Amino acid sequence: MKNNTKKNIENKFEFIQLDEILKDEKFEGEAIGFFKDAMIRFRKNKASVTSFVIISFLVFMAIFGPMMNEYGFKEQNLKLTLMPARIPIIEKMGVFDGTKVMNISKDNIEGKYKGAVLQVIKEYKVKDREMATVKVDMYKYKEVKDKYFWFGTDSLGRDQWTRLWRGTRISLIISVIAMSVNIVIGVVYGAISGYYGGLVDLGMQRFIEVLNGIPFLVVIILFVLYYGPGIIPIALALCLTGWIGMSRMIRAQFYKYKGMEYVLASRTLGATDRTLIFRHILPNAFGIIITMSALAIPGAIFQESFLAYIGLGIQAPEPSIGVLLAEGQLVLLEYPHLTIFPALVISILMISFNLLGNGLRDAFDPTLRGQE
Amino acid sequence: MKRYLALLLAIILIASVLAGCGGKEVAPETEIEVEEVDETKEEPAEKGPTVYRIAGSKTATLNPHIYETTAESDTMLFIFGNLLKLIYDEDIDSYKFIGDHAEGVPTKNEEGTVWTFKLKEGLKWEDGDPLNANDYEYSYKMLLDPKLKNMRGPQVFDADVVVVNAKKYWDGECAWEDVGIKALDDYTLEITIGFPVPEMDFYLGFTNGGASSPVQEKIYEAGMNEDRTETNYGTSMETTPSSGPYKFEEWIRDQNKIYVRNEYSPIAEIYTVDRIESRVVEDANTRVQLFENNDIDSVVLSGANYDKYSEDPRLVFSKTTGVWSMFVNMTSETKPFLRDVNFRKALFYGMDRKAIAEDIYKTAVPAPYVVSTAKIAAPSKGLAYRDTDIGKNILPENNGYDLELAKEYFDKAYESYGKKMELEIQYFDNSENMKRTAEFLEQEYENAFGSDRLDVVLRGVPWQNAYDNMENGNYDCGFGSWSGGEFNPWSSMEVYTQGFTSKIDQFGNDEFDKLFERTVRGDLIFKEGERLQALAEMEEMLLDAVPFVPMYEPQITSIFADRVHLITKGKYVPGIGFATLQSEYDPLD
Repeated sequence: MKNNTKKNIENKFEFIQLDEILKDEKFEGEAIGFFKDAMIRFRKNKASVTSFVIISFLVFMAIFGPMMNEYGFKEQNLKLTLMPARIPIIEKMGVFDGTKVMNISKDNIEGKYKGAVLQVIKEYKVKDREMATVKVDMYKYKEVKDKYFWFGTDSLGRDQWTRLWRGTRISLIISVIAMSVNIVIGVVYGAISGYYGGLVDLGMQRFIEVLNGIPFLVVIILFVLYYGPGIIPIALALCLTGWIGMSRMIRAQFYKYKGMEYVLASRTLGATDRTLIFRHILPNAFGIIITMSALAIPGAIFQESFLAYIGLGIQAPEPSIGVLLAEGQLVLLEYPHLTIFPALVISILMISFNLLGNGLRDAFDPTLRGQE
Repeated sequence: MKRYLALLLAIILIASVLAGCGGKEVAPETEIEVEEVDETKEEPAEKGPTVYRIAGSKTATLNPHIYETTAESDTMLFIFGNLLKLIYDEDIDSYKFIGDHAEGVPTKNEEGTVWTFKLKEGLKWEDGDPLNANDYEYSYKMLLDPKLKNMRGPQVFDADVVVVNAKKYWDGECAWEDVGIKALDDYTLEITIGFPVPEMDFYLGFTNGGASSPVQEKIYEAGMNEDRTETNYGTSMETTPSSGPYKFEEWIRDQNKIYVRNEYSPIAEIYTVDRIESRVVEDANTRVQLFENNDIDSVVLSGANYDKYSEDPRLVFSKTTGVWSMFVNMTSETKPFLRDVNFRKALFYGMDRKAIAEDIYKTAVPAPYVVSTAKIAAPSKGLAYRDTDIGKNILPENNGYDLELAKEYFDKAYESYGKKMELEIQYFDNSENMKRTAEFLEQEYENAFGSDRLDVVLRGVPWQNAYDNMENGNYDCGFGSWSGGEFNPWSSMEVYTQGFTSKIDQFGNDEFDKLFERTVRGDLIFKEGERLQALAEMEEMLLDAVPFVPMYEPQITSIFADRVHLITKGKYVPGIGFATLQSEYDPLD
């Protein structure tokens, strides 16, 4: 029986490869590093890629937009104030064609508005005076048919297109400065606090709690009031407490990594604290830093706009998106063009940065590594 | 006595400026001013009550001794009576004083220092209690009470009319018996003043609802706290008894007020309006929308809202007493070029006032002068100072805009300073129009004088801080304005004298101070011609030294609904406004 079985087996199985030497298969393709892997995942996220393109476009416009026409951002023309938007080609479709609906005295249709009235919408009477609601070609009325203010003009006759892109530039500058300072402070603070732990950590964290306990708006408003609302003071005001979130993230990373074997090994080999912090542990937090930065920018832009809205905006005549919005909303019903364009830009900017940040977060998330 | 030499200034401008929010912290009042005083019209009221609907601002207190805002004083015009009342008289198309609680205007002794009011008999408070001269005496005693230290107290001694010993009593240095306010009997009130003043100035101290209105003793005392340092008078409907032509039917704090006729008022009958409905709406855009929905009958228009109605025949314009100016720190330690009068003159002549007034403020008037067109210099004739020959003669040509001259002055200033000048202009950070003005001036000055020689920088400052900076001399240039009484341009000059406590300019001239004293308290009071001449001299001194560069005079633009038929035909009458409560109204649908 026993023999039988063995025989049977021997019969059923054949030895192959007895003449061959077995080797590991060679890797096809290259090794994928951390960033490369992240890049692959980022590229697969369509929303993030689109956002990235949009942001690049807006940054491009912020740099070159103000140069695209002949008007300067503070070049005033009191004769051409509050002109409606007029864009070549699109104007033929009946929008952004430089017209405005006005209530005027009927005599003036043939008088001071002669030739500029395109359409009489309604006629009515107020206290014995004949009035009419008419659509006026403002560019013709002001005799500047050759001019195009793509986004219209503001109350001092300054070109809104130029001001909007200049404002975008300033908003971006403020947010980038605020973000960079926040990262530097946050990383250093969080790293020290997390790496050393113990009493140092205790002290530093309590300090953060105290700082966080002061109402953030009050601190910012006082700061801006004291130093005056320039680019740097506003950016710094946003840094007063803005770094706290970042420092906490970094601290958590340090707690996670500082007990790991490779750190112990490095320390055993005599690495200094500084080397350990910046060379060995911090790089693990790069993903978080990048993600946090992308998410911090819209926050800073929003806060800057908020400050402008409550009257602590950047110093005149310099525009920022917030300043333009604050000016625009005052005349929203009569001159919507002053609000619409900055509102569009800030909305797109915020959404894009948020989507980009989300995409980056997913891309850098190690738990998603290798997944679709 | 009724004089608003307070920093109310900001308000008017901001009213004419802000189309939206942003300005709320500046002042609860902002606009109005329009629905001022009223009466004199008899009107049969068969068709139901005549209702006038307005939007106003919040009121904190209606205690006439401590009120602060325009919204509060507007309410007081309705519900508080006084000895006299200023009304519109259709026959002369101007203002007129009539007796309210008094039988008529007071009589005076030969020296003009003792004035006697005769009160009407049978006057009553809202609840039917009698109102007489003793109520007036009590009210003044409380107004001047050294313990209460009412904010409006100084109106009795630190004003055009100075009541004898009032200041001493206020400081606690003498007894009430020594003060020059006495009820001789129930119907006679005697006022003794320190020096004689023109009738107009005296009357104004006792006209219309306000600080000099009587308070009802039993309610005033009942609301007093234990230390007698505060009373809750005027903080609710129950504690605000009417002595004027209207009384409260409803007052829901921060929401609305409804006034109806007070049948006990001796002058109630001369009003056409039976019922006033006022609701609290702080935002100017919301007010305009209420007006468009036909929920209120009048509204102040500014900015874009004005543009929308610029050709509407219903627009009316009211004058203001302030001239907005750019103050220059003429004693600056840090920037010596500001001390150079040539530099300041360059700023004066380099300013395109017309553009600022017409293109930025739209309804303002360019003003290269100090005394506003609203100020009346000959009350008997109702003649404004700016309409007199003397007042016209000192006006520079072309609204004081002369670029060539400005450059000449600037060259001189630049030569003596020798290097690039940096000039900082501060503006109120909540006023869009002021910001625009600053931006406009930056461009104008830099273009005119060369940006290689002059660098203008702008700084937005909250308006309270802006005035503080100016008081402390901690600024280069900044905008500001003083408002004052319409009928006494001389006493308004006090703000430029060296002794003035909240002085915002750095001008100091002994001769000016002397002239001021003479015209307000001295020998020139009754010499109409010389007094006028002195006013012109004072104005000229200011224009010569340029402690500030006058810019424009705001006008408040209002629109009234179709159902309102203004008795003044839309003309602005000094001291009265448009007499809305004397006007006729179509019934509401």
